[in-house]
Amino acid sequence: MKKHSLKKALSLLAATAMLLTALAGCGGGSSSPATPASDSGSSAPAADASSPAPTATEKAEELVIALSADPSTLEPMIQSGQAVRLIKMCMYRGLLAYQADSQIGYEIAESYEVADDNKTYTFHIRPEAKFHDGSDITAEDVKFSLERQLDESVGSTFRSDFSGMLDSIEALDAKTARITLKEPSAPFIDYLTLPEAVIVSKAWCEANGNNLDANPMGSGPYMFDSWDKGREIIVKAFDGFYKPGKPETPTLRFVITPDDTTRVNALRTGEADLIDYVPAKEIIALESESGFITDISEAPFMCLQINCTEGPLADPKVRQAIAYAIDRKGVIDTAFMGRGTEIFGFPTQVGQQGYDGKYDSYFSHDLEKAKALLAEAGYPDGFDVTILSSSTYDFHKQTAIVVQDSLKKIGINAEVDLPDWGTRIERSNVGDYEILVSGTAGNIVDMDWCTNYFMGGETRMNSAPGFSDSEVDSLLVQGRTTLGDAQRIEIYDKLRLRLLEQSPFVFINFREQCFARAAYVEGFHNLQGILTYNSGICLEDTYIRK
Amino acid sequence: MKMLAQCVKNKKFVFSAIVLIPILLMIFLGPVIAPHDPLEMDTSHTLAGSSPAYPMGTDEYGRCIFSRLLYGVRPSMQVALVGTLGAFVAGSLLGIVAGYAGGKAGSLIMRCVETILCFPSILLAMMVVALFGTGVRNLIIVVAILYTPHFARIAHSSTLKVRKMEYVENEVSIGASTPRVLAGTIFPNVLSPLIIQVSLTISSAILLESGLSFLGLGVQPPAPSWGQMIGDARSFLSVNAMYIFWPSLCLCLTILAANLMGDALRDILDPKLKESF
Repeated sequence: MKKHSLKKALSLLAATAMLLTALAGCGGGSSSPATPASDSGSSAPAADASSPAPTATEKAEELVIALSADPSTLEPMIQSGQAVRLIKMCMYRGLLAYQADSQIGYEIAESYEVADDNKTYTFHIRPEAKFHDGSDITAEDVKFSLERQLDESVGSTFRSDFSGMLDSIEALDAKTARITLKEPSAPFIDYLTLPEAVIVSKAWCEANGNNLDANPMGSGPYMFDSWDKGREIIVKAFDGFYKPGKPETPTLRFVITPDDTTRVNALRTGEADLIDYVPAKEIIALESESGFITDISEAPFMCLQINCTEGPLADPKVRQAIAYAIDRKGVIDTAFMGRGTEIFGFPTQVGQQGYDGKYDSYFSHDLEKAKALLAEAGYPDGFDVTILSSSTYDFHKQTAIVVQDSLKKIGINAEVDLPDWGTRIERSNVGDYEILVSGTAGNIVDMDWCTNYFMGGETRMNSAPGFSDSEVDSLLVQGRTTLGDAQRIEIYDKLRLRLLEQSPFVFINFREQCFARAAYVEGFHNLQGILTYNSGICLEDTYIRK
Repeated sequence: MKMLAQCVKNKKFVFSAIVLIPILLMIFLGPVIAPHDPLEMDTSHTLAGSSPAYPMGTDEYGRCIFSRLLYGVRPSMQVALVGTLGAFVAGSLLGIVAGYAGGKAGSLIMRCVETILCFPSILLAMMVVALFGTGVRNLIIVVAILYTPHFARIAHSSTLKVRKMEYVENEVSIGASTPRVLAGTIFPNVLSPLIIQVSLTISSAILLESGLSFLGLGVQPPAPSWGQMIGDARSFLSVNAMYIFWPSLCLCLTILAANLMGDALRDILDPKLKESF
């Protein structure tokens, strides 16, 4: 009897202990390790809803952004995608930047002059500009940063562009830097507005092994706080920022949410206040739901970057065959739910820097022509090839699969390779692919964006490996160094024609770039056109109206 | 014949057979029945519902879901059947040899084999895929490696029991060679529990392949696989829920049937096992 009841008691005790542990586990797990800041909006006390301009107490402490990709590196001079640029533009700034009104404005510089020779630029740095560690930003830092763009070990995405333009940089005094170019350059100022054209601290880099990925420090509105890899990055307001009253929100939390559905649902449930890369079907869904605002810019375009080094792809006829074979409408219908515009020519919008659309029908969807070109090139039975894309972004994956299907129809057997985005960026930076699916927008507003993409030379993130055409190179140089608008229009028309003939890139379609935010988020908008990739500049103005 | 009668009487067996026979038909007759090429895209009719042309609707590329289901069973079954066969052969061999040899050698073999049990299946599969690439062939190898210990243990413990039996001693005493004893006498007597394990392993293997294809690590597009279809369909739940429904239903039924078959075989082949849990 006694033994029986003892057994019973012990088992009851064990069961209760297990139950309590389970409950404790549940309770503990659901609350995330939140910062001491108050929740954004949900538990706010009843604020005065009618006051027009919110004071500091009426804005939330923290803004949560669900981000589509985990940065593979925080090195600011490397372009690794729009998602990372949002973070980069919070932490780093350069001399100039495109502002929220899509005009170029001053950042670290407060003014500049160009000498009559059009080669000498003198920049005056804001006296109050400081880095996050409190040190002043000086002309030495400007000199160091521009020279760092040329440093091979840093691997800056725009190294070739800067090394083609820059001749020398001098620090005339603590707050004055003189930049001398090799030749007059029409797009030079545009290059300085790139989110990658950051000014970094010489002292900091020298003290930290020039490794800004491990030790981020810049001069932007936000300071780096922490990076829980794969999960979230937190940045906190820098009170020494040179724009008074900015940034609006004390803490920004970028939560890494690569899965499309999860990211959009985070917005719906209020876990996130702002999200990037809203996929087409969700744009349609969110537009019909109240409480959310979708912000769309149709400027980025999908294309195939082709490795022209060897094999069948080295022949322009083969690349043209691919351009004729691709079912562009199929890509738009599948990957973009029918939203987008086919590109049968070159991805310049009509009106952009004087383009009149003369090449917009250069190619068409013509399988017979494609097969004929392949046969002319010596591949009547097609060949095998691999397409590199990524599983992280559905539209990249789906574009690759539709392209694979299109190529099959002309006898080219393609296999699709779908690593995660970080791996895909690493491989594309070194040209480790045969055909690459790419979604890009050019990098600067000026047509000289073509230089980074199409100039011969070493492989870059945005170039077709092994492509080198002397006519293209000379047209690019002419376009850059000519300062008259009318002449530049002619030069770039010739460039477009030549690039379509050679087709190192096969252009597929324009697509929508969409941000979505909760209705209570103010101050953020998607810049139009190519500048959509610079929308991170708005984060200093973004706040939640409680 | 008595066995056949027993099978038919067992409800679980009948149910699993009802599900598995059409699956087998799908494997062999799929290409004949399928109304469309599973890779053929019709991008102007993406995510459509059921219609006479497309019995189960279309996916995001406008491909026929029904045709893809019929073709999609093959990779799962290939991995499951061939992988299980591999595990069966390797496991039985190792287990029987270890059991017959006994002593330190036997223990050593079994301990080595059992280290594989330390790895969670999905993690080991992902490791192999990361090192050697995706695809059906590598998944077959993963399944064979993962489930070898299960077969080895069963074979080992059964062999330990059986080798003390009189008929084994008889064989040995008349001078039969060891391989003959192992293959001719011991193996047939340890077969029953191994066969039960085969059907259980098949269901686990189907699930493993589907899980990996769901994650994008198994069968590569555009070739279909049920797990891959489920993974792709997940993004379109709000647009066309039937897209995820069909492959999920097929997968559920198949795994359930394979598991029940294992139970049924256990009832039929080895009633003694029913007592031990």
